[in-house]
Amino acid sequence: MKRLNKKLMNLGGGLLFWFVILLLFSGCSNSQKQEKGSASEPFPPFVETKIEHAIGFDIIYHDQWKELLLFRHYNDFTDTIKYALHFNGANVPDNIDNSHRIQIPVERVASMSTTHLGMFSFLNAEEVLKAIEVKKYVSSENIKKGVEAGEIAELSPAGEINLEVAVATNLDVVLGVGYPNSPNDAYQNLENLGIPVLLNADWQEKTLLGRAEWVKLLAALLNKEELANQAFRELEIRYNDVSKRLEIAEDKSPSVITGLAQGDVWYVAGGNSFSYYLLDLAGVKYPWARDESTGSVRLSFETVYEEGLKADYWLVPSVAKTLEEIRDADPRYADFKAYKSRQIFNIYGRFNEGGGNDFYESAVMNPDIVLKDIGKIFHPELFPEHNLYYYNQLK
Amino acid sequence: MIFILVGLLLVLFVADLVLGSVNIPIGEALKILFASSHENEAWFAIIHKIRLPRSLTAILVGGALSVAGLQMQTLFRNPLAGPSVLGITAGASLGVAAVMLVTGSATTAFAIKEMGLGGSWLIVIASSLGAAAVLLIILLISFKIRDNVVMLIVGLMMANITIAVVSIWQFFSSPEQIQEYILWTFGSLGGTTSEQLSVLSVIVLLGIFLTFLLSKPLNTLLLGEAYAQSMGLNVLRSRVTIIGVTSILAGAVTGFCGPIGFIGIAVPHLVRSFLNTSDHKILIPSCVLMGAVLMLLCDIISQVPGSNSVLPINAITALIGSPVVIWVIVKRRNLKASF
Repeated sequence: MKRLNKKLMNLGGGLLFWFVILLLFSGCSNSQKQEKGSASEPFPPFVETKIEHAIGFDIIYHDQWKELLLFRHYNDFTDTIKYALHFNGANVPDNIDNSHRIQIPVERVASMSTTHLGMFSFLNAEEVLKAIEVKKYVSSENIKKGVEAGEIAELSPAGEINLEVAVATNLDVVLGVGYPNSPNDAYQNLENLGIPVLLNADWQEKTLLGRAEWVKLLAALLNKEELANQAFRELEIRYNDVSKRLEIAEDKSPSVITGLAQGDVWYVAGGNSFSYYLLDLAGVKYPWARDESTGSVRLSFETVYEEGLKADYWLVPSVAKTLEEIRDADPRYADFKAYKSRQIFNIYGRFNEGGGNDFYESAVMNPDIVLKDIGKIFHPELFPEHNLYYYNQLK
Repeated sequence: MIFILVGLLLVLFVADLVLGSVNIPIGEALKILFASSHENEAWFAIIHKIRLPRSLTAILVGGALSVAGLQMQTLFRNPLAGPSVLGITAGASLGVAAVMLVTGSATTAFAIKEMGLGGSWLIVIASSLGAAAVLLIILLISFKIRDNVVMLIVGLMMANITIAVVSIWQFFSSPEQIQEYILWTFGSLGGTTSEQLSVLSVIVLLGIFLTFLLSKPLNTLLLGEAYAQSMGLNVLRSRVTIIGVTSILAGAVTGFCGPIGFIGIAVPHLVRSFLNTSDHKILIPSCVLMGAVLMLLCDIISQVPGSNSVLPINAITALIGSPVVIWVIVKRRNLKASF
């Protein structure tokens, strides 16, 4: 019903618009009966971008519109969601749902995940960010100031999307987050109100560059593919440089454990998880490398304890920020080799009191720095000039 | 009977130490246990630092909850009573949730916060305080109301209130924040450090000792309050003491190990069925032993020996224990005689 109303309103608005046009140029009469503009005016040709690393989306360029495909790999089934990005007045095939049509270039964007925020500055487009999920998780000073100045709205300060704020912010598109438990009802409500929601699933990418490449999705929305192509190419070069430096270190493989126990259970990174992928970039020996799971693996305390006694490194012990915290949580951790040699690292190099962590924000667009951090941890001799940025050694 | 239980307890205790995720050959494990010599440093640490504290915790928890359950069933003369019905467990949960709340910032005043680490003592204290707070209210009410059935209903309602408050907090919290709390509710025997274990053992042993002193009033209460009064028993004082001891036992266990269900209700039934007596001088020590045996058995199963994983202890106690209780009760059919 809401959607129908919205359609009628669009129709009404369109007719009124053309009525005014008719009054102004009272010459041409009955050729303007199409609902939304005419195809006669030429649209500038698209600069195309190619998706090479990311598995979660693709863009197909048509004559007058871009076809954005979002792939869901995270449920039991794979699924594709289709969106049409088009200039005002372009011809878009009828089979694309109205709520999945996005007029470009978008000017007012909301982002529901901190992992998108670095992309706006990467494309020199911070001014189009008009709403975020909640300020307390944000690390960027500019964005925080924007919220304080009232230029950027908070969509869900209380945990649920405030629809009234979303409408009042006059958004063109919402960069949502697609995950198995995503708040689909709230997103549906936004779409019913005429605000398209992109269910981004950048978290399901398997590589650092794959995660960063989601910037090209934003570029397509902003029609900034040219800039994105060039900046991303430079990023790839920086990343590959670090990657090459790491190749020399292949000969030795330090052993490592991950995570922290919660009672009797210890969740460690699975063999196909992103966390292990990061470790693997540095060439480490990991007891659960052959495991198949993409998330974390439930193990008993003593299983990990046995490995912990001899592992050289210990990465990301949950939320622990100091060695003392680890010891207080359970004195048995002090038996670990990595505890005795102080080789414990977490991802709290840059975090704020509200609970935000820049590792989940600007790091997405700085895969080269993340890789350098990992290289520095396991092979410090290769990166003498680098100081840990996103990672942090526990003291 | 007692001797069988003691024997079972010893066998299961050793079995619990020998079996686990990490495969330690039985000979080697026994050598580590009984001779102080050892070859493998890691195995020595695993048995002494992980399995021993956990098995001892299991014994203490099993004993404490069973005795607490026995007292509740006798006091309320109701076979469905247990340490959780008075809202003691729920009160402990409220305390834990409250700690997670206080560590949050002002903007998230209604959310359960991730606590970070080092909160293990904090959790213990909070849950004991939560249990004590609920207990205090129930005690105050018990001064006014003399009817035990009414008390039982009041306890159940108190539990509902605290659960409602916790669920409001959960509603306003993000999934990651709730996770820590949810994990706590699964129960855990392995999280107790040696320091905590010594505190727990002092509280539990004291509680069981006090219960033993209460066995005469408990026996008298079984005959009905009016009768007990005519026998010269100070019913009010007995009731206050029984509730006090129970909540100390249940509160401490819940604080250290999370809410562990089933044992408190089931063990007294098992013991009564097997022993065919309602004399607390026999029931109390039997409950301690039977509770410890059952808890050890559940711990061994929850460790899934040979696999790398573990199962939540709270699920195992109910999953393994409930059919046993059903079987015993159906077979013996002497439940009514005890109340």
